Amino acid sequence: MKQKADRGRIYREHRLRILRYSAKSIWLLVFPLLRGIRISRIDADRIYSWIKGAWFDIAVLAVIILFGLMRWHCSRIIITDEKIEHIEGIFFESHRVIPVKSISSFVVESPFYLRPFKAKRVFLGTNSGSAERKMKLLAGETEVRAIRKAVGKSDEKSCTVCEYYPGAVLLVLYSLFFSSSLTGAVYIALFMFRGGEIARELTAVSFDRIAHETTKLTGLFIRSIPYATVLAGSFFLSAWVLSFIVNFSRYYGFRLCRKAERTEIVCGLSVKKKTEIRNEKIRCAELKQTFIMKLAKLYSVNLSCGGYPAGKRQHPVIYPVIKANRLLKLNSKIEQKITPKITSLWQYIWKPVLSGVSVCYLSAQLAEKIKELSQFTELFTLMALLWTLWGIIIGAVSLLTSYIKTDGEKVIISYAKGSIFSTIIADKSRISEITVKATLFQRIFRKCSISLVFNGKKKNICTIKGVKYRNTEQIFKALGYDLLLDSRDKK
Amino acid sequence: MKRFYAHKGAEAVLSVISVILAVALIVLIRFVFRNRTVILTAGTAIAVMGVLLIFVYFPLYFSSVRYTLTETELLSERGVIIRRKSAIRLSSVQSYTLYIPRRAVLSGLSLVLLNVYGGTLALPFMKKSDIEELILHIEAESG
Repeated sequence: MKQKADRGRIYREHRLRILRYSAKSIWLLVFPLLRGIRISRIDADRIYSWIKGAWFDIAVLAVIILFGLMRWHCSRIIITDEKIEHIEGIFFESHRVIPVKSISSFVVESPFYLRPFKAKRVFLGTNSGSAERKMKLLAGETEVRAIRKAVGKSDEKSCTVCEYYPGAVLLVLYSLFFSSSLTGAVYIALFMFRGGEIARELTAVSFDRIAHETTKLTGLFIRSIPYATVLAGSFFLSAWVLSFIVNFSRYYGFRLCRKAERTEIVCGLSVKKKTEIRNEKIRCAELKQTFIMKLAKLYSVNLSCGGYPAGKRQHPVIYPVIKANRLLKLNSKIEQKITPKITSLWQYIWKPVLSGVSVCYLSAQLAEKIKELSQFTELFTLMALLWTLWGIIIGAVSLLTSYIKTDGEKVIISYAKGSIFSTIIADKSRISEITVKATLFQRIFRKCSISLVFNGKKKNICTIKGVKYRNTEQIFKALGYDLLLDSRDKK
Repeated sequence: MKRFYAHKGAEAVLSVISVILAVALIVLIRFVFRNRTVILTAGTAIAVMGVLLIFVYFPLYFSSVRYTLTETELLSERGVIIRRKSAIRLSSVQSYTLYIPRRAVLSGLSLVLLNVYGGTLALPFMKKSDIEELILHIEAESG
């Protein structure tokens, strides 16, 4: 529904929003009521006796839906050439206003369950605040077209600078590299928490069946594996598979189209998503690699821009997987470059080494004191040793590949966080903070850790450890920061 | 340069709400606890806190609220025990949210959230006319 107003055209959110505005407890009433009207034939007496029994529930349900309807009616979207305003609220009116010039991203999601109703979720993002307050709307096609027209007016007819289609194989690789059991476990926990008793029972039965089948299969090849170990392994494997399916479905059909003033990204299987990003609002690009991607010279390119991605557990991907030789090389007159010293290896591996040694020691003590737990302690010890070895490999590679360098107006920092290797490319002006830290041991060896902070969806702290203190002065001057060194450290 | 102060009606509304909440809490304690001493002690403590809140804290707080607007900047000052001053450039405002009650009697309980690079600035208890003037300045500066 639209009306003209002096301030611009007024639209309303999609009618499905009424269900969202109705209280969440509506579903506690709907299902018992539906059970009550499970009648095999239409019979006036039975209907009358049902209404007589359930009249109070029906009245409460009617009030809830009426409240939702009132909230929907009070919700309006006003679109002008200068701004987009969303007004909602019955007793307290809230006006959320985003000037068109401030919009950094415009995301339209079309989940499969909303497509029959021609409803879409719209997100408008800006580069503001650490929480990046977005405007979230449930809109019909008319409203989406009107918002798109207001946001993207200037760039409708501009030429395409480049297009990119990664293909199914690269998307499978991306999902393989960036799926994790932890993410899958989060999805399972959310399902169990939100789905209630039925979801919990379903999940428990599914895991039990998976573990039972796995025990039967593994029993053919490897004997005497404790059931608890099989259950834990089945859980982690299932969580990883779930994470893989979610990632693949999220980035299925990925297509990127870069124009003069904006970048368009289309992807998604069950939830089709179209994102438009203003190029001038992009804060920085981040090249991510896992260890295996590093060996295969593949990168995943993310970018930092307000409002992208729209969801919480999503990555801001523009190229899911791309080969190193396809990335544009920066023109290169490298002004300054600093790298950590090889002798700083301990700073990169002390965490996995100490935690591995602690777990082994504790497992041995536990096995000595409680004989019944010896199988579990063997398993923990093996996992700890594998984790330590993996941590040492990642730490060593991180030491060899970390650096900070300046290249014209750009700063490039390559570092590792956990088991992910990242390279951030940004304008020098995008650095919000530089921190130099030196522990007691670092000061003895005249070394320090440098952290560059970029403000984004969350604070992005990029740290290089084990850098010689005297080498930092040049890089800070190149970045436009004056650093006064302590006179003792200049020796 | 222009100065804005807190809406005078907001203090009265909050005082009334505090009285209602205090009475409701005392009635609840009366029904939950049986011990006369506990009821008397808790009731007295709530009453004393309510009196201090209405006659001491609220007047000091609302007299400390001050917003200063220039052509390019906005300064927010408020606080009793810890006095907080926050300043932003109007040109750095990316978006804003206004919470305005529909009922005139609650009109002092408005809230303006200005979303800027790096954070959000909250401006509570502004008058509607002051909010409109502030928004005009922001739109002129960011446009």
